[in-house]
Amino acid sequence: MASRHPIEAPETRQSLLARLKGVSVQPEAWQRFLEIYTPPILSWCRSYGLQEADARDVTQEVLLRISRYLPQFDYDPTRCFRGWLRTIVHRSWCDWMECGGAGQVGTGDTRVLQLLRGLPARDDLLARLEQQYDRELLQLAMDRVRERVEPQTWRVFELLALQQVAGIEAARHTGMKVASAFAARSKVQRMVRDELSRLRDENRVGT
Amino acid sequence: MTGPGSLPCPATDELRQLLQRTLEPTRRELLDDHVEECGFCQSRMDALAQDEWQLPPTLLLPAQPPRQPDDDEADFIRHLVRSIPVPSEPCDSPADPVPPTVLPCIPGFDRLELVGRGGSGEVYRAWQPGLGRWVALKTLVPNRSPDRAARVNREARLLGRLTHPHIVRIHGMGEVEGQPYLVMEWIAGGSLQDRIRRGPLPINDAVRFAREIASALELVHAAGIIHRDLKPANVLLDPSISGETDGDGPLIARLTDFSIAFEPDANERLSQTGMVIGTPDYMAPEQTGLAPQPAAVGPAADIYGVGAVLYAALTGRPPHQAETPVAVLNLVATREPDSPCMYRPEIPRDLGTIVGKCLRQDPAQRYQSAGELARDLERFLQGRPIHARPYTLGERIWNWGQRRPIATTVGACLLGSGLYVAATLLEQGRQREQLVSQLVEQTDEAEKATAIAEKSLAEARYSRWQTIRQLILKATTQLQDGSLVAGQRRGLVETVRRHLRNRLDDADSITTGFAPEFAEMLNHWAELEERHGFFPQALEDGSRLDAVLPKLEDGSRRQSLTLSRNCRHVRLLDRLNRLDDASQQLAALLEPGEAAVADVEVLAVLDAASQHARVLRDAGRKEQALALVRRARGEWWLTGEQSTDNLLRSQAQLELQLLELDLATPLVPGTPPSADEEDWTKTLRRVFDRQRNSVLALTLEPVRAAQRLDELARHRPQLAQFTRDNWRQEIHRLDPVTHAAERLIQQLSFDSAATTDVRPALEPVRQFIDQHPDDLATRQRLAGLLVRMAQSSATPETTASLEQARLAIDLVMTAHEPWRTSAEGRSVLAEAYRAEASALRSQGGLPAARQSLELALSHSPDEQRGNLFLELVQLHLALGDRAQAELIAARIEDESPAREAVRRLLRESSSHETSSP
Repeated sequence: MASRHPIEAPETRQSLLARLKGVSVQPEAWQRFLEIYTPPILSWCRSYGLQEADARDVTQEVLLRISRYLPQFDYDPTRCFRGWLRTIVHRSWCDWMECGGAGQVGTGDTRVLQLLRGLPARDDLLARLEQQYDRELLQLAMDRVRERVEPQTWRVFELLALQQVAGIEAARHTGMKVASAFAARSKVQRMVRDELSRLRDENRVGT
Repeated sequence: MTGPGSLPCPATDELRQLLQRTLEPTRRELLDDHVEECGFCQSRMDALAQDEWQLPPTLLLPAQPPRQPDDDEADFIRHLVRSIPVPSEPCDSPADPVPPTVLPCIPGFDRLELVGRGGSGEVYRAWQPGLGRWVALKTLVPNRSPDRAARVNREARLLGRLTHPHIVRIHGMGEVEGQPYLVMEWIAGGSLQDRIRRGPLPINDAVRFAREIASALELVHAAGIIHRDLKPANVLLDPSISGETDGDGPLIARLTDFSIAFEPDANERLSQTGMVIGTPDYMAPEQTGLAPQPAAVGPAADIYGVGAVLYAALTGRPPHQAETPVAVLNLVATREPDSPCMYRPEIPRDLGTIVGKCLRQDPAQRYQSAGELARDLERFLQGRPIHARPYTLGERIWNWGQRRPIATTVGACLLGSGLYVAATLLEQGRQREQLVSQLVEQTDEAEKATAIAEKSLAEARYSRWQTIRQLILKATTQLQDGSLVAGQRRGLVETVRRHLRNRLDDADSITTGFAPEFAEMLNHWAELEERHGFFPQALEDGSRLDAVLPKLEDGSRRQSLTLSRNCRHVRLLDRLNRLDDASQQLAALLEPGEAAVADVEVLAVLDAASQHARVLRDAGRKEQALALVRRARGEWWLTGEQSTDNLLRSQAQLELQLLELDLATPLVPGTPPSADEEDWTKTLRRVFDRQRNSVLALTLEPVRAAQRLDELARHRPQLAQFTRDNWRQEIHRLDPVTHAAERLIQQLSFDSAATTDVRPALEPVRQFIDQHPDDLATRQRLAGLLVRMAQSSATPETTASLEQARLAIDLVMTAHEPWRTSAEGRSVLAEAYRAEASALRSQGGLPAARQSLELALSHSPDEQRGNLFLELVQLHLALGDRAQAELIAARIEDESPAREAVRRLLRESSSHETSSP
């Protein structure tokens, strides 16, 4: 489900965060954003030892702030997209931390909450969200490329590059010659890399 | 088709062109065919393709879509969508926090400006017009417990008692609208934390600040107070004595934030259990609550704090860093940090020694007073020898030697020949070393030479150790990436083991210096061997740890390594079917030790006990299993109040209880419930209640649990506080997949027995796996089942067995890491390929069968390779390719029983050939 957005074809789909940059945001984009970016925030909470109910509270608080700060920060096309993301997350986190939003958590272990308010925790959160963004971009690039190649070619690429299967096995599995299998992988790789850098450029310049 | 022998392997450039399809067609076709048969070129092409794929490793995920949120999470996300409004217009004033804070109105102070919020309260800068000065106002975070008021009082009282140039002064306290506040000196220079963020400090500055804080602590401790929250954020930097914001004077360090300080002697109602709230980065081990040997939190904790702050000021990083705070906590509690000299080579050794002495795990080994520390720091600043003792005599003299270069050179000249002797004799063992020492003792500078010799010897040993370490790390990567075939893996393991054996023969030379690293590495190696199926080797290598463990000075590390080794040995002995030995080992583990045991260790032991009990049960030794379970349940660290509060311990308890119920004599209807059964029901309920919102996975065996619950409900209506359906529902909710899987498996076995066209029967399997890609256990069972079915139904008439085998192969190939490349996954894959080969043979497709067998060989564990070789040889003979058959026969390892069988086969076939007319 996650790799195929039902409504838009990959060719026209932008990365979610890109679509959230503007002042007015489509509800579907926001929903999608929540679907994708909630789990990393939940894991962030859990990794610090929060119980599930408290993790959800904290996640909700953080997301609330993100939703408030998103439209405030005008996207500066001369700066890197990642920087924009960092600013949003940093402000949201600061806000959550400073407002004693954590104080409202009922059974929150105070020690854990203290940890979450530390700078390493913020950096950890940022890193997770950035990684999610990178993954999303990569997935988008791969989805776009997948549309453009034969299913066989794609499968061979998957087996070789993503699953690290041995050449001869992948070749057998797809009925190709070994050399052709490698060549197919090489071709798809190049396409994905190109697509990825194109996506990054789009996001740099701003839409 | 040309074999690899006839066409020479192409050069790399040409191979790259082949990869990118820029060769002209005839040449390309030739090379394609060559590559088809040539393993060497295949791996070269693979490497070339891999190089082109230049993404960062974190993005190289296995081909799985992002984890589907489970139902609960999906519900949560829906809730979020409903409750969080879609981002739209910007807020009015971006600077306002949400909800906007109302600045307190405190009479006598104005121009309040929020400068920070911490765990204890808000801090404002304010102007006090009455006295014409800036002050810092510290208030409570709203909504805190009334306890806090008492704390603020206490902080004020404590600070009031302390007047020291390096402690932030308190001017007074007051109350506004029922909320107390503190009025303190305003320090303009920011905190040390802010300064560190810009980079490490010059060494002398860092040491000076540390000395200032240490001298402040002298007073604090003398007043009977322990600060408990030493960290760079709590060390403020004051630009001048008068506190003016434009002061240009040298910065001086001022200690602040006594909110969690405590007085051990005062009669306090406030909680002082030693479980300190704070960031773990600068916490002393005894403060974490996780130290294996708990010690009281005393002034030594503050000494540690100064050491940690100094460490951070010097290197820009805290003593321990890890990915999550929980990991940091663990590190702090169990390890000593690396020397700061590692991160900043220009840090003099003496300073490293001072810092090391602050950061010892055992509080008794640190500086025993802040004054002592301050004085040693002062000595360092003045260039005098310090008092702290580093590890070896040799090092200290070396240091002294470094400070008096002329003396050393003279000494070196005097000992010219002595040094030479020392150096050459290094290679020749300890006896000679003693001779050297004797020779060298004859001069005044005797000690220096020994120090030099010792140092070189130590370095030589250390570099040998580094070689092994690199070897093990490299082996780890290679084993885990799954690219080696069985024979190569074995060879690799044997090489590493040989090196380890050699090193361990010279056990005396493993000094206490790097014994901890060595022990960790050895333990890691044994774990790796276990994971990759080298069970006897893992057992042997794990036992070698015994030679190294006694050299560990750190008791807690020794204990945790011993535990890891022992639990692993129980598992290994089970695997090797030495059940009695395993039981013995486990019995030793269940003996309560003298030292307190950490949670994670208790769980490891309980886990080992559960698993072994299951093995015993499955082997038919139910009585023994029952006795073991009862014993594990009765141990002191399981019972008592503590255990029921801890969710993980409760789970462990529950598992053992379930096992017990499973093993105990069957319920006799009509008899009253036993105490055990009641107990069990209560625990079950408690765990289920707490689990309701949790995503912690219960490792219950749900099917058995459900069966047992059914029985209980039928025969013990008195116990049924939930109805039978409720229980089932709970188990379904926790593990609904298993029931679906069970049903599927039963259906599959039934269906396939009946029909010749299996495809409709296989469809539900595909669907199930698509819907539950993460369920590796079911996947494995299904694959196993399919392989067995394929093996039993191989006939020329139908393609049933081929379909089954192929589906089994698919199941493994589409599975996630790390199962797919684990020993288990690969052995299933090997079986599946083998089944495919049989199916193909019965259909007459011999060449394809041959390929399948080769693939099976590449994944197969050692024990099964013999049979595969045999089949391959048979196949080649059937194909009339004797040369290949012999080549394959040559690949069989010597010890394999198959070797004989194959030889015989070859003999028979050749005699058959020569005897035919």
